[in-house]
Amino acid sequence: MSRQLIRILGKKRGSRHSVSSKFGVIGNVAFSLTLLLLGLISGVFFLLNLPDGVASWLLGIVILSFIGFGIQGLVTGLLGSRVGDGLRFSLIQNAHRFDLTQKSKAARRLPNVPTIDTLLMSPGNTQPWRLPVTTGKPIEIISVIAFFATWTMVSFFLVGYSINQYRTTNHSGWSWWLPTLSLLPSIGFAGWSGRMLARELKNQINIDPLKVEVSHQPLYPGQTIDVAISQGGALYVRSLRLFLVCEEVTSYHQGTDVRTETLEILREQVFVQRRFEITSKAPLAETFTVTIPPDAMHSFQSNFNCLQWRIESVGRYRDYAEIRRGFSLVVHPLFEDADDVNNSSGDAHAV
Amino acid sequence: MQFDPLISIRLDLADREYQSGDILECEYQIDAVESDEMHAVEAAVLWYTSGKGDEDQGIHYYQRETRKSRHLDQPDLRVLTHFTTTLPNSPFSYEGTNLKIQWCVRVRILIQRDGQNLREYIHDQGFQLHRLPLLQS
Repeated sequence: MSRQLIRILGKKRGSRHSVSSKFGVIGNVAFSLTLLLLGLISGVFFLLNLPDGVASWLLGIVILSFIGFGIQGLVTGLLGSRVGDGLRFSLIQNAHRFDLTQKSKAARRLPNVPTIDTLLMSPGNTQPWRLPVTTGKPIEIISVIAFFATWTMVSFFLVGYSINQYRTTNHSGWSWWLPTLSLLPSIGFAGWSGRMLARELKNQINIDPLKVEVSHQPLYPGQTIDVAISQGGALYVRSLRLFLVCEEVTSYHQGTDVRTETLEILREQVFVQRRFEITSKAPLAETFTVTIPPDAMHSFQSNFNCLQWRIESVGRYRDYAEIRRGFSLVVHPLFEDADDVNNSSGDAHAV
Repeated sequence: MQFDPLISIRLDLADREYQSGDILECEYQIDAVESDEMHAVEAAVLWYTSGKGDEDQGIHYYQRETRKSRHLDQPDLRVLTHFTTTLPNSPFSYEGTNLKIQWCVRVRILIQRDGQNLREYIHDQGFQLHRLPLLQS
């Protein structure tokens, strides 16, 4: 389908780009170049007539940001164009030539496969590696805290303001009863978010986190590993299930929005236990085996698409909401000089 | 009447199935275009994604030749050209639901005819990059 060169008005429906991508690149480069030139020219004038005081700092920052954004836009614009294909390739090749760190070597050995060094910083108690939790509710809790704090402050401010206005004015006009009227919804929001926060904190404080440890990292297709789980606290568990999950995560532009879609392509139950009690004297400690399917695709990571593996736990506890947590796994492809699948990856200190 | 140029790409394996670490041998040739109309030829071995997400691309091998960069004894960019490259360990070809990873040899030529603007023609020859057979242990 042919695209318009320029579209001033009209809603974009469905297609990924509203106009020709070439026009987009040219526009981006032209804008960045203008910004850069503006920054450079104003920089020269700024240096010739240096103002005093705060104005000089302010102007300097504005000019530097013009130059910085101009250069950044120019580089990304050129790299994003077809002209940049060869340039990008050459840059990557030359960067690799000088970067001799282990991480870079690993990335060159397995392009677009996540490296495991950051995941393996934590040795486990019963197995060599403790997996990091990748999906909890930190953002949700932080959002609830921020929401609660904001509405509490607003409520206090409105109370203080209303009392002050009531005392000092002649009780006419909008001066005191309008903030008093706004007080009710703001206290309502504060109370509602406070309840949510209390519930989340109760879950976080009373339920010890589940620990998942594995015998090998990275994993290879067809490999069987030992997985140990442990959980303390005082809980009655209705059910605890663990799944081996593989999912495709894709990001795409829709208009000016970036959307992310996750599609599970494998969900295999690897552990289940029902109706048991965890006490301080008898914490949960179980070990079982997990086999990565022999025809599995390796972990893959690029700018807009990735394929990721993880172990997901789904716990149902008495008096608490269901708790789901994800634990990242990295599956590497088999290649000729790969480490021995069964022996070499069990040492937690060889990071 | 002018025809579009023909770009032929031939890989050394007829089934076009390679394993990581294999050496890929490729030949390409351009026809139906005059030698002096050829501006540049680029050959690349690359992977790209398709599916629901935006496209990602990774270039494994790249070469570009122009009339100036060619040796004086063979300035014709249309002639049969041969290159080899050792295939990387990843990413493998993948046919998922929302994500597909495809490997190809891509030849891109830039042509200028009768004072017109430069026009590009691209031809891809796909191949599969597979994993090694599983270890017995």
